[in-house]
Amino acid sequence: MNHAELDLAALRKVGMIQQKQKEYFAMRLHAVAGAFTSEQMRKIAEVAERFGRGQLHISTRQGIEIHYVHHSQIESARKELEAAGVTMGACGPRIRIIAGCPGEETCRWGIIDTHEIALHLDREHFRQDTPHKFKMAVTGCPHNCAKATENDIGVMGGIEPIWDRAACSGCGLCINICPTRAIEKIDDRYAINWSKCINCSICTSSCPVEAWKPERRGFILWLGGTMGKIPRLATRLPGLIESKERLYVLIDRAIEYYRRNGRKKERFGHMIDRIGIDKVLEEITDGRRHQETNRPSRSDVPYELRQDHAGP
Amino acid sequence: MNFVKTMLALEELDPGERMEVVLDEGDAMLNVPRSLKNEGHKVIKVDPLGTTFRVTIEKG
Repeated sequence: MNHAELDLAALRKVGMIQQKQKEYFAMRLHAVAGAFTSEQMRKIAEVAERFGRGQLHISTRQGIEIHYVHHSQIESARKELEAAGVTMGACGPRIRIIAGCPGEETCRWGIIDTHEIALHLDREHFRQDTPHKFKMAVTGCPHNCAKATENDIGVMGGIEPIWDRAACSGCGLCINICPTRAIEKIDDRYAINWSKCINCSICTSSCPVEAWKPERRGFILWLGGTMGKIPRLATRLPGLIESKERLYVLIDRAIEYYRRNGRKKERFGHMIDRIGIDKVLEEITDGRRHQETNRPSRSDVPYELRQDHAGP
Repeated sequence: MNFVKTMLALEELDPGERMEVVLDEGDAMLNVPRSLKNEGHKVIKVDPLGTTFRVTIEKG
């Protein structure tokens, strides 16, 4: 068979991408949050040498591509990789590999287990068709190393701090260290301006006397980010989602909504702008957009009336 | 370097004694107090001085 007879769309679906040199293909491999074992890396290198020209590319989504594989060899190369547990990625109008940071397992700032979430999303959604390409990322905290805000769906770990008056030494470190100046001293207490707080945990990890403690920890959901031709930063769903199950339901609904309402070649974020964020969020959250917590969100309470200290 | 210098200076003190360091805003303020906390020392006071901060530390 010559290369002109290949079903290129079908090949793209499984991450086989025709190069400029039409008889050659880039093999885009699957990965979850950029995790590989050394054994897999060795196998990938070996396949790149045997079936390609030893030329590899590390992709912007933390995956690996093997370039210059002749079309007659891609199936053999694929089988060889599969034996080491390395499978193919995806290209075209569908859900791509999930990006992610190392998360709480190894990172001092990590608030959530990014690998667990990324693996779930991978199993549920990877390679499923969507109106246009669809990218998801899971990042451990608001330092946002995995760029949750640049993906169609981003999951970000976060905490809600609470102030313990009895423990506080009044050193003032928190006020000076909060990256968004969300902490203020009001009379004899320290309080958070919830419209500024980004749930980053810098206050709770820096406080020398643990007067700032994480009262709640959970997930921040970001929707509709996209880079590329028409960049758009993601829109944050208000609140902190404490339930993993609720997080997964919201993501399922967002993707289903996109499938029903997105136009061809229209990214999720651009669809959100076209339809209107309020309408989209109403539907995805099933009317509960202001209650994405186990109780009313702190950001609904007027600043002056919030109880930012523990106790009766 | 800030953390290293601070730790070296702290070595000269007895537990409970205090010293002051001046730290730049940004990385220094984000990293040094947390690192000191990990080493068992305590930030007592932070006084902003424009783009720097005077930080009073008590040796643990």
